[in-house]
Amino acid sequence: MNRELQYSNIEEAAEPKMVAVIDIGASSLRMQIAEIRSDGSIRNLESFSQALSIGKDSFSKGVIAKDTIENCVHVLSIYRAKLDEYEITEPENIRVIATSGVNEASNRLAFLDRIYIATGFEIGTFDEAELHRITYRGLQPHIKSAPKYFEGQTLAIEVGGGTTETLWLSKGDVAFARAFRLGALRMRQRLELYDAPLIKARELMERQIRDTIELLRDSVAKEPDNLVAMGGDIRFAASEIKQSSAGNELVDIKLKALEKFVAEILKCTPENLVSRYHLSLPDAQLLGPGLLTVATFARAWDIDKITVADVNLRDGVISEMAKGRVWSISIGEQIIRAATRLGRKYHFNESHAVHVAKLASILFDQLQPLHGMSGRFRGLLQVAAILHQVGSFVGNKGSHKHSKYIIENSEFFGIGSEDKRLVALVARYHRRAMPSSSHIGYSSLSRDLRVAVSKMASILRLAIALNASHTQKIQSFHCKMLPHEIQIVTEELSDLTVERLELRQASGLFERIFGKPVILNSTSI
Amino acid sequence: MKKKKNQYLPREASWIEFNKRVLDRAFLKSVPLLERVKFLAISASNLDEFMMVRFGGLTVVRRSQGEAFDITGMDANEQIEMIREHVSAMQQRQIECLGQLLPLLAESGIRRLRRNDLSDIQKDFLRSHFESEIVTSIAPIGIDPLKESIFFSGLRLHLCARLVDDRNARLVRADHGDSNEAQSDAETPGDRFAIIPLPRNLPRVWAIPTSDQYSFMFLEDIVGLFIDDLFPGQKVLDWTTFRITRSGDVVLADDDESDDLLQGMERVIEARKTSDCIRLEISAKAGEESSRFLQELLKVDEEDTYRLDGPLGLVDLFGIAGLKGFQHLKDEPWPPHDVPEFLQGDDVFATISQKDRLVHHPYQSYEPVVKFLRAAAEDERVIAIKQTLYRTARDSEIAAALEVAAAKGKNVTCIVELKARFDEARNIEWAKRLEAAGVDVIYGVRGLKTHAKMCLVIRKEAAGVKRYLHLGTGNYNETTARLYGDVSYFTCDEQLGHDAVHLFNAITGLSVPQSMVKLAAAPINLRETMMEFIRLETENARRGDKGEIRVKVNSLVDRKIIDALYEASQAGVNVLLNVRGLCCLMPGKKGLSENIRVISVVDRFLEHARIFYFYQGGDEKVFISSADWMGRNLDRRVELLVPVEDRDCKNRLLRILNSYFDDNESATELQSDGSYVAVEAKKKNRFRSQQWLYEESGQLLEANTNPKATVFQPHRPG
Repeated sequence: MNRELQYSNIEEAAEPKMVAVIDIGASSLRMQIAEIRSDGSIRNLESFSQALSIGKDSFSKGVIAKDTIENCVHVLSIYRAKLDEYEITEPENIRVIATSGVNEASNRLAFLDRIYIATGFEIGTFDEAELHRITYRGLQPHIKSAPKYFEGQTLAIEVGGGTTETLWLSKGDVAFARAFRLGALRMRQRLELYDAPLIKARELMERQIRDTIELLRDSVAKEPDNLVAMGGDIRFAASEIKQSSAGNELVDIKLKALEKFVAEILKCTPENLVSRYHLSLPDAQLLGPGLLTVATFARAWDIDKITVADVNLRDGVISEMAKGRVWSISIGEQIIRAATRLGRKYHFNESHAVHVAKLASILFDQLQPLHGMSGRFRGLLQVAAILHQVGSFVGNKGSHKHSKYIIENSEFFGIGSEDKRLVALVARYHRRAMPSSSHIGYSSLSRDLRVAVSKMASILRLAIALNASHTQKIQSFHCKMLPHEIQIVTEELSDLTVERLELRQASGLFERIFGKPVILNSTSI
Repeated sequence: MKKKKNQYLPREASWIEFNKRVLDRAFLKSVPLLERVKFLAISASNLDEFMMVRFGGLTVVRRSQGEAFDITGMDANEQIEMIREHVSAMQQRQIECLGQLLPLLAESGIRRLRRNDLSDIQKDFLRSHFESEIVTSIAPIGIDPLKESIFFSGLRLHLCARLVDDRNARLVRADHGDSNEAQSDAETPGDRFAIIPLPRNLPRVWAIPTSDQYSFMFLEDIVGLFIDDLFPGQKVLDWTTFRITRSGDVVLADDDESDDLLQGMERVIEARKTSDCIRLEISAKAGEESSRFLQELLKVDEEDTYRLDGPLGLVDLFGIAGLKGFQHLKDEPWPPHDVPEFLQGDDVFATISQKDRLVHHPYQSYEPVVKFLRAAAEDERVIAIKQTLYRTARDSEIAAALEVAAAKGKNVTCIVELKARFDEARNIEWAKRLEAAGVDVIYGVRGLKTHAKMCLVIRKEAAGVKRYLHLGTGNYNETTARLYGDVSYFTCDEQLGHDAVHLFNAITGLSVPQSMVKLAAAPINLRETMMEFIRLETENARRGDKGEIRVKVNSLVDRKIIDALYEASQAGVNVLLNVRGLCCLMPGKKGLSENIRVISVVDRFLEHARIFYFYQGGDEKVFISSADWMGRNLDRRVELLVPVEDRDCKNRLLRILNSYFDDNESATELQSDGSYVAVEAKKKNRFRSQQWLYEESGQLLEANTNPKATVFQPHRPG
C-alpha cells in the first residue's frame, strides 16, 4: 500500500474544527477558543476575559450606557482579530451568547444591532432553559464519574453577576431548574445604592439570599442532601482553602472553612483583594457576595460540606457544538422526562404519547438518508411526539392548536425558545391542516426551519398512525426505501387494518414533502 | 528596619566584592595576558557604572534627605562612607595591576611608549599625526571663574593645563571673544587654567611605528607632547589628566540597578539638573594648584577626589585587550559547538515535536534559536508568533525574521522593552522597523519591565493547533549569546503552551491574567511559587526527611527569600548557591545559615543562566528562569519560571548546575564576613566548570554526529 497516501488520508480525516464561544456576562466579557477533534473530543486553546460591567448599567438603570456599548465593541473587535488569527470566521463556528446583563436591558435590540454592525458578531438568543441544559451538560460527566455526590437530592447552584442558577437533581435527574434574579453584581449594586455601612452590608445581602432560598423552597418541597457549587468565585475559594488549584475534579470544602474565608473576604476592600490575590478589580468586587450566597445556601439546609465543580457556561456551549447539538442520550432523557412531566399536568395519554415518541424516533433514524436532518431535530421530534395531544386538556375542538400554545407558554427543562417554537409547531401540525405560509408562527420561520417543521410533522403523523389503535402493538419495524414508495415492514402478525387506514390518511403530508407514498406491510403477508 | 543588622551582607559591599573577583582574574598568572588586560578593563568599566548608578543614586538620596536603608540597616551616609573607602582601594589596586601587566606586555611585544622613549623619527611621525588627526578634534576651553560654569561630560578623559602668559609673546595677545584658546586677563593675579576634553571619537590607544614590535601611546601622552602648540603666546606650566563621574544620568536611565533607589530619588528630579560631580579622578602627579583648582571648579571635596598614580579611564584598555593577532596571549578560542538535534534535517518543528530540547549557550551555538524564528517566519502553517525582546543585537536576525513573518501575513506580536538600560536607542529603532513591517509592537507594560524571554509560535497542523515555545534565560541577542552563559529550552508541551498564551494575552492586555498551571510569572505568582518551594524543603527537613536546594542566579538580594533560606538551613536543608554577583545572604553562620554554601564563578564567559533545583522529597524539580532573586525581578518585572520536565533535558540541566559546585579553578566561596576565598582543589583534581561545560557540549555533538565509533554500518549488496 502506498504509505504516503495512507498517511495523508489519515491527516485529512483528523483535521479538527476550531470554534469559539463568546459570553457577554454581567460583569465580564469572556471568550474561549477550542478545537473539536474528529472523535468529538475538545481541546481548549485560549481563553480571554475582560472586565466590563454591562450588568452595572442594566441592573441599575435598565439600559446599557453608550460608553459600555462602545467598550464592548472594542473588546469584541479584539476578540474578532484573535479569531481571524486562528482563521475562525464561519458564523457556525462562533457562538456569542449574552446573559442577564444584556437580556434585562431595555435597549437590548439596539445593543445587539450595534455589536452586529461594528463587529459582525450575531448574538444568539440564550434563554434560561438553554442555560439549564448547558449547565446540566457540564455536570453530567461528574454525575457519571462521581455518582456518590449525586445520590439522593442534589442542589447545584451557580452564582453569576445577575442571576443565580439552580438545578435540582433527584438521583442525578433534573427535577427542577430555575434562574433567580439574585446575583453578586446586583447585590453589590444594591449595597452601593443604600450606601450601606460595612457591618450592615452582610446582613442586607443575607436577607436577599434568604428571600431567594424561600422561593426555591416554595418550588421544591424536598430537602437537598448535597450542595454542588459552580463558578469562578467558589473555585477560587476552593483553591485558596485547599491550597491547591482545583482541576477538573470535584473538590469538597467544609462549610465552616468557607464561612471563615467569606468573613475574611468581606472584611477586605476590593482593592485589598486585588493586591492580595492578584484578582482583577471586578472579580474582587463580586467575590464576597458570590461566596456569601453559596455559604448561605449551604447553611439554610445545614449541609456541612460543599462540592465544587469546575463547570462553566463556555465549556458547555463548546461541548454542544462538538456534538452538533445532538442531545446526547442522557440529556435527551432529561428533556423527555421534563416533557413527560408537563404532559402529566395536562392528563395526556402517557402510554400512547411515549410510544408515539418511540415510533417517531425509529422512523427518524431509518429515514435519515431521506430527510437528512441532524440529531437536534430528532430530539425536538420526540418532545413534540410526547406533547402533541396536551391540547385535548383544553378541548377536543382545535386541540392541535391548544397543544401549540400550551407548549409555547410552558417552561420546561432544556428547550430554548427557538426550539420550543419548533416543537409547538410540529405538535400543531400532527393533524388537520398541512403547514402553510398563511399560518402565523410558521411563516415567520426561516426556510430551513419551515422545511424542518414540515418534515418533523410528516414523520410525527406517520408515527401516530402506526399506533392508531392505541394498543402499542407495533413495537418494531423496518423501513424499505424503494424508488417509488416507502414500505414500513413489521413482524406484527395481528390485524393492522386500523393502522393501514390511518396511515393512508396521515401520509399525505409525507408524500407532499418527499414525493413518495408510505405503505405498511407485515412480514406475515 | 535597623533590626538584625548582622544577619545580612551589605549590598554595596557585596557588589564591590564582585568587582574584586573580576579584578582578581587580571592578577592571575594562569590567565592569558591579554585576557588579564581585558579583566582589568571590565573591572574599570564595572566600577564606572557602579559609581554613576549606585553611588550617584545614594548621593542624590542623601542630598534630598531621602531614606535609603540597605538590607543591613545602613543609611545613605554610612553606605557612601563605606563605598568611598573600598573604591579608593580598588582603584589603587587597578593601577597596581596595570603596573604588573605593562612590563609583561612589553616582554610579549606590546610596549607602551612614553615621551622619553621616542626617537626623533617617531616624534616627527607623531607631530604630523597630531596636526592632521588630533588637533582638529580637540578644543581647549579657557576657564573664567566669573563666568557661568561650563559642562564637562562624565567618564571622559580631560587634560587640565596651568598657563601663564609668555612675556616674549605678549604682543600677539588676542582679544577676548571668539577664540577657542585659553584667554586671560594679564592683570588677574594667580594661575590661569585651560581644559582640554579628549574627544570620544579619537582612540585612546595609538599604535606607534617601531621596527620589531607593537608599540602604543595613550592619547593624553601624545597631546601632552605637543600641548604648548595649543596655547600660542602662553606658557604651559604643567598639565594633568582628570576624569569626572556624574550622578546626573541616574534617574534618566531608570534602569535595572537603581530602581530600588528610585523612591528616594523621586523628590529630587529637579535638583538633578545641576548634576553633581561625585567622583574626581586625577593623576597623582598633578600639581597642588591644578588639583585645588579642579576641586573648586567642580565643587568636589577631598573625599571624592581620587589621586591615581597611573593612567585614568582604564576602561580604554579594551583597545589593547582586543588587539588583532597575539593569539598566544589570548584564550584558546572556544567556538560554539553545533547542536546535534538541530543539525539533522531542516524541520525545526519536527525536532521540537519529537521531544523537548535544551541548548546551552555559548558552549552551544545560538543558531537553533535563530533557525526557529526563521522557520516560523517562512513556514506556511505558522499563523502567529509572539515574542519578547529585551536587548537585541545590532543586526538582529531575530528581529529580521519577525519582519519577514509579518510581511508574509502572519500575526506577529512583539513586546519590546524600551527601558532596557543602554539599549533604548537600539530598541526604539528596531521597534519602529518592526511596526513599519506590520508587527504588532507593544511597548512593554505600564509600571513593569518585561524581562521574561519567550517566543511562542502557533502553528496549524493536521492534528490541530500546536504551540512551539522557546523559553530562555538570556536575551534574544546573537552577539551576547556568544559571551553569556545561558540556557535555551524548546518545547511544545501542551500545558506550557497554554500557560504561555495566557501570559501573553495578559501582558498584551487582551485578557485579565488567568491561572497558569506550569509556568509561574512575576509579578503574579513567581515570588509565592519560589517561597512555596523553599518552604516545602524546609518542612520536609523538619520532618527529618531530606531537603535540598541548589540554585544558580546572578544576584541574591531579596530579604524574604534570604530569610526563607535561613529558615531552610536551620531546618536542615542543604542549600547550595551559585551567585555570580550580589549576595546579601550570609552563609555558614552557626545557628543561622550553617547549611548554606555560596560560591561565585567568574571566568571567560559571563555567567547569566538562572537555574533552580528543589529536591521535593525525591520528586526532583528543575527550573530555568529569567529572574534573579532580587526585589525588582520578583515584584516589578514580568519574569518567568519554567519547569524543565523532559528527563534528558532535566538531567543535563542538573549536570550543568552541579558542575559549578565542583569548580576549583574559577570558583570562589563566600565567607560569613562577606569576603570571598578561592575554592582550593582537593588533591590534584583540578576542575574548571566552563571548560568542562564546553567539552560536554563537544561530546554531545561528537556522540551524535560520529556514530561510527559505536555503531558499525556494514555495506550491503544493492
